[in-house]
Amino acid sequence: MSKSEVKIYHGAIVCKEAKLRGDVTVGSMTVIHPCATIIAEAGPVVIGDGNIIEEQVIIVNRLPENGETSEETPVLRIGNNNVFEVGSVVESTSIGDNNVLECKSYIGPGVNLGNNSVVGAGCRLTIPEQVSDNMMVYGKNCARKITSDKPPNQYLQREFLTKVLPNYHLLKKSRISASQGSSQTKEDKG
Amino acid sequence: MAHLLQQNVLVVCSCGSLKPLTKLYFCRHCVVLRCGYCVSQEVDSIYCSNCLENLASSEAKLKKNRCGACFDCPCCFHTLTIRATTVSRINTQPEGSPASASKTSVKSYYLSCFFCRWTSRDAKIPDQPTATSSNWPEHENPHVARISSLIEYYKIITLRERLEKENRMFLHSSRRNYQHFSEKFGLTAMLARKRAGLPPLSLGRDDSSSTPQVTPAEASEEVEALPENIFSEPVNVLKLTSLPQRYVIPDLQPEFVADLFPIHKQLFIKRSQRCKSCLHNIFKPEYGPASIKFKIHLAAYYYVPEIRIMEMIKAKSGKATELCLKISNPAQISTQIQFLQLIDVPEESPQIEVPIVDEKKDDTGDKKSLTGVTTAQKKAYPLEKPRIVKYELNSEIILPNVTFHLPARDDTAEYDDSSESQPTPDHISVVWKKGNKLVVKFSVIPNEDLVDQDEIRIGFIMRYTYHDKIISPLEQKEGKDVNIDVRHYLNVGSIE
Repeated sequence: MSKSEVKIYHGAIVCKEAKLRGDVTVGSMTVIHPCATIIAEAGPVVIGDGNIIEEQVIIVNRLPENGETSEETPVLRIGNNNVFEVGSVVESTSIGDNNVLECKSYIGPGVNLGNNSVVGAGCRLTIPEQVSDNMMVYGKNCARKITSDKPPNQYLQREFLTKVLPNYHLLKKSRISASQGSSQTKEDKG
Repeated sequence: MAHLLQQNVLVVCSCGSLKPLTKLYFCRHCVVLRCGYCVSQEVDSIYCSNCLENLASSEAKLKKNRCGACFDCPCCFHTLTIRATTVSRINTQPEGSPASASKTSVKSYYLSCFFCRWTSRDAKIPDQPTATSSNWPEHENPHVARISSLIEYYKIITLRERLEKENRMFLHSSRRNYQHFSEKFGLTAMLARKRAGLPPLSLGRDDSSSTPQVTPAEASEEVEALPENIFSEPVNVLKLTSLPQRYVIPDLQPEFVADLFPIHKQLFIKRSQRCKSCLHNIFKPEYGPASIKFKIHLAAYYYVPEIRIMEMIKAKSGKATELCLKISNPAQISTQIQFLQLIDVPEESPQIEVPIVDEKKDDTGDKKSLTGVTTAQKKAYPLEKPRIVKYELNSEIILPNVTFHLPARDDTAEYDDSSESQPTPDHISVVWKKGNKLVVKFSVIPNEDLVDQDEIRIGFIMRYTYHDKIISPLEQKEGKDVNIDVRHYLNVGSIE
């Protein structure tokens, strides 16, 4: 697979240094920081709108370890308005909307995240399961509880990043067509 | 930072406990090491760690040692923060016409935990109109009446016991004339009451009628039956509280997550440490809770030369192996260091402190040494018998029989590039020398019976000279040099 399969919708901010490999689709208004890594190994990675993917985040659609190949290609789907904080690792196949993955958290293969969930800093979810909505995982023992309120809206943070990141970084040009690839880069003044 | 917390180099305190040097104090007046166990701890001030409010001890007692304004999360025990939300409220006028309805945005506040996202709304606490946190609802202790009656009862009992004790002392004393004490025990006041026809005040002597009666608690055999649905409904762990969550609110002990209630934050104290034998302060922090400085700061780390292991060794049992130790002098005065075997100085006896004669001030040397011996022996007398050090040594160390000179610490020396032209090391065992630091080579012979992966444990005495600047008015004006023996126990590596 080559770089040219990366699809970036209009309005997304994807820094050039970010590593996007394979069939990766980035929805509009999504912000991807320079050192994030998104790899579509076993199948495509589809990222929705309005996500923030911070530095050192690794999102991988990994090939199964035992070498099994299912009939349909697995697709890693990420919903809208999620926040992936610094150093979080995602190897699951489905993530809903409005989730927050705090720093250094880990979502293992087979763990499907619902909506409005928070995975606390350093928490690891490794056993395949469907995490119910509004789940909060926190602390060193990964204690769980259902919260009543949603995680805070990241709208202002996203707006800020959309303004600031182009000032200091080269961006991958947002285009839906994959034919020209991401070799052309948009260079911003400033 | 890691070397500050390491457990490989342990020092024996004057009380016999083994601690790393960073956890020890140094009493300048007794010229001995002290640790947290053998100093008296005193509470200096009581404060809240969150709002840094300083409370008097009586006030803190009244508030049950908890801050009135700050809360902890009942779910994860982190500090709760106050968050504001704007709620738009529609004010409908009595006429009910849609035109008269006006929208006003009102700020309301609730408590929220940033760590586990618990909010006071989970506990069904209504949002507060003001940010001042004094008016948060309090939960009522169901046993408050019982507790206060018990406290009342025991207060009277302690008072009575104290009086009885005083009476006993009074009877034993040879003085028979009670008139002396008429004023002290309020006899005149009692007489005045009697004359006025009032009931006599109880002195707690033999009138048991004045004791408030408390009903003793009775254990009952009747146990509340389990609710019916406990057998039929599946357990939802997410709705139940954990044991720590229950015990942190002992009066409620909520069973369900929905019943959790914000906990008032526990107050913190600032402590000062005092030497038990000379009653001087060893550590004294500044009074204000916001300050992190100390008025008196006698940590052993600033007075006793520090020994660090340069590299953990891998040795074969029975074979001599080289061990490098780095010695640094933290004091502002240069020092002489000698190494002795542990058996050279008996463990039980108080420290032997032989004052050495300073060569520069030779003229007063004789007099000094005499006074030095007496004061050192007098001062270094331990309060309690030190405990016996339990540290199994399994290897032998060969110590160089020389005195090393370590200059005073000089913070500017680190920025001095010209230090390359240091004088050559004065002894063959000195590997490296710079400023107040010195690396000395030792030879370690692990015992024959050690097997693979065994720790190599050695011990020795570091004898260093300490310039005692404490001037007692009876003795000479300028300080004196004393030798201090510090017993070290080291784990230097493992058997290969």
